[in-house]
Amino acid sequence: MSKSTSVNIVNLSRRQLLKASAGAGLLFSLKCRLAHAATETAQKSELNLFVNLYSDNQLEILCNRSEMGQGIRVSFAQIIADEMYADWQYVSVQQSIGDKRTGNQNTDGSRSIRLYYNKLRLLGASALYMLKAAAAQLWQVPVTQLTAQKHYIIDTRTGRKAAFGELAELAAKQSIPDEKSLTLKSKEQFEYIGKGITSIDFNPMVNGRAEFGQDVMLPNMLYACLKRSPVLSSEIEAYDDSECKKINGVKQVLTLGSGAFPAHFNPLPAVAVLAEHTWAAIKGVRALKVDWKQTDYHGYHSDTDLHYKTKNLTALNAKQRAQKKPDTPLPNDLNQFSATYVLPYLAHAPMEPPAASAVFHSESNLEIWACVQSPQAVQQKAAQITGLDEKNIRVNVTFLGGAFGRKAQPDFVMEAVILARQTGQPVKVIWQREDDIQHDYYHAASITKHTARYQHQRIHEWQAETCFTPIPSLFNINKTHPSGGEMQDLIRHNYAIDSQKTLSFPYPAQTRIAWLRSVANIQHGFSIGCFMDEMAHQMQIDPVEHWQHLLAKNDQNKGLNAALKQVYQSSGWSQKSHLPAGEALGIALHHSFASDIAVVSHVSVKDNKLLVKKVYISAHVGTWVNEDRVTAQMEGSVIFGLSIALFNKISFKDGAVEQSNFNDYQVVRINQAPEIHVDLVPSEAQPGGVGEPGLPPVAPSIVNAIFAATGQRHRQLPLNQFYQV
Amino acid sequence: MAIYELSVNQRTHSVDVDPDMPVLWVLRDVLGLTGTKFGCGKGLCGACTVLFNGHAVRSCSLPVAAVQNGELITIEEVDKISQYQTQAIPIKQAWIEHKVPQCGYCQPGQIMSAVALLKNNDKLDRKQIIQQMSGNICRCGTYQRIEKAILSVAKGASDDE
Repeated sequence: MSKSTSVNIVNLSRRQLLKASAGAGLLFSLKCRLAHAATETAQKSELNLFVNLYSDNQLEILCNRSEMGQGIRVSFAQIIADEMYADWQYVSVQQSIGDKRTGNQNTDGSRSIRLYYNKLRLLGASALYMLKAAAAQLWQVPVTQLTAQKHYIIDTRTGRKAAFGELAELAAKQSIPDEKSLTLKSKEQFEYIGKGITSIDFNPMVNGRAEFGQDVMLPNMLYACLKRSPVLSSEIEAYDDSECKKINGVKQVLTLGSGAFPAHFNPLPAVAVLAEHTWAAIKGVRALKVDWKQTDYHGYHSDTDLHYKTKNLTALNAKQRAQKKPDTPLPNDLNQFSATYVLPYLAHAPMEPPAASAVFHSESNLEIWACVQSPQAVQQKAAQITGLDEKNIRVNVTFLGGAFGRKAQPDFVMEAVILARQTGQPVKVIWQREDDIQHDYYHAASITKHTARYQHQRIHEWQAETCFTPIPSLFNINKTHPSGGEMQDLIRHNYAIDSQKTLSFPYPAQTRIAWLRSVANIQHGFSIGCFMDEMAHQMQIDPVEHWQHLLAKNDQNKGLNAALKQVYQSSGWSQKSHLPAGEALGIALHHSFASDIAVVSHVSVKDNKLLVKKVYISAHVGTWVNEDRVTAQMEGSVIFGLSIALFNKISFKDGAVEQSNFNDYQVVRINQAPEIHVDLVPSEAQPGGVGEPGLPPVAPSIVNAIFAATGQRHRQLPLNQFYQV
Repeated sequence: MAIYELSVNQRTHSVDVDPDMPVLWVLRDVLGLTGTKFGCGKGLCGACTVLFNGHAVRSCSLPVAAVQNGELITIEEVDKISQYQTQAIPIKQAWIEHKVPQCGYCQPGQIMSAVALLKNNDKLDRKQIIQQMSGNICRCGTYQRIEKAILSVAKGASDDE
């Protein structure tokens, strides 16, 4: 997930990052009463933008990336605390407001640790250096004579020591060290990095004290619910709010938004009901009567359209996207096999529906609280909408009650901003679940056709053809072919197949399309994962053996080979023939977000009842920071992937989404959840992505297991159209 | 509008609201108890689970008029109220020990369902836990850990596996 609007960290000098920020106000203490444990009287000293040390030893570490369940806050703290030789009992985390000085805050693309691992280590080492320099000044000894241990600087010659807190004020006055003078720990010295340290956020979470976007309360606040345009680009024709205004607590009814392209992060055309509390706003919206203008998009029926495009794919305008030419001519007499995979639109459905609060403190001073993945994108868009200077727009990031890519699009925040300006009062916009399901930025439906030409258990030629609406259509409706980034992980020139060709076909946007956990890898991982299993069957070899042929000894496939080896062992793949009738294992592999994942699913199909009994996931993700949170992300990816495999489908009829809540957009519940076995494969490599790469192999491994169990091959999801689940 | 005397966490609150206002919005918007979460508004996801007279109920679908004569308990205080402490204190601890939460949004509802489950049946097996907890959705996928956390508290539980 990358975005044109993102601010790149490389544009920010390390010097800026290391420099103590000027003036107060950078560090915003979340209103969730998570505030640091420092005593009232303790004096705060800023050692750099990410490190605050108090005279009572409390160490406050800044997290500039959004917390949506991946454990980034604890992970950031682990990295800095480790390099500082800090004592964990003093560590707390502050959530950064939207602030360019902290670097890239766009929490997407499984990039937080990848972008910040080395930088945070340097920030920790820099803070430690300044503490040592302070002690050196105090004791009039050379810095080289000093060492650090558990929140103390120790003089190795005399044994005297000073606590970090005692040195904090003097440390903040030291000059910022040059990067070259910093020494980072060796892996053997790590005390926190790599360990499964318990998140500092669990306590408020289990006590209902963690503040999410939905939980923000401001004095004199209006609660807003909106009735939004159900069809792309359809504007308000007329509306009747006479019944709505009779409802107790309803204060105002306003209109906002526009149907004009590009969809971008603009609010949809809508009628807003502002009320004294959420319930009145909900009832008010129900009582509204709105007529919407007819558009060309009213004719869209997704099932019909997907069916038509699947049948007539090659009649569409093809673009060749990549080619690998064979070194030697292909053998004659090759066999040929094709299969086409079709996946539906998907919604994010985070447990917390989008919500945002906004208040204008003055004409030119706006403050926002929201569950957003990219607070700087909020600043930019709000500045564009209001004409305010970005620096006069303060964006406070709450906890995100799940996001999965949805909360990277701050359309819901813009609604709050516009309504706060229109009313002159603080406004909280609350999305109901129906709003979330029916007005999402969806994952695109896709059609992918694979064709292989093969002989003697080897594929010699592979053609991949794909068709789905690109995410750039959000910013330019005329973009109809998948972008380069969206094609990237369909192109597998590192597989031992001599001749390869990749084509794309246009799918014009019919709705807002954006990033969903693992993005285009959902369809790429599914279609490749299923097709290679089908090819193994065609060539009459074991799927694992086929994968070994494909990966060969190529260095680029080192991670996938390691993950494959691990999952083969953990799942007992070699013993799979001993499983009872109706039960089988299926395998799939996928590389994405710089990580390599192999998944084996154990399914049972009896009397048309499908049960996923156990899932084995082996992850080669490079160096990891928090072992437990990485494991949790793999567990979560399995459940998310299972929801896609079993249940998830968004369909459009007359241009509007047919599903509305968890009754018709089902997600996996505990009674459908398999046992999950996670292996993290040790690696010395730089950190890879963690939040997303676990997802793509899950669904194909299940479909492949069903084939092994029953001989039934499914090339469409969700599976609840075929089985009782 | 009407005045309702509500017992929430063993304190009486007088609220002036429409009789059809769900308890969820009374707790969140009127009393400021935002630990109880809004997830679906239809009793489908369990994020809004509270205890009413000792039973787990979906507060998004329970009108305020229906809870006048009874006791509501929420996530913020459940472990501080004597009749639920035996279950709630160890459950909250188990949630942390088993590192259950990811985003944390559904967990108050999960915990309230688990407390009610243990309160009403201390001899639980795996099957019962799964059956009883199936009304609470976790989109992050923390189910395996929820199950283990509850099993760890249901001491003397027969694990039928």
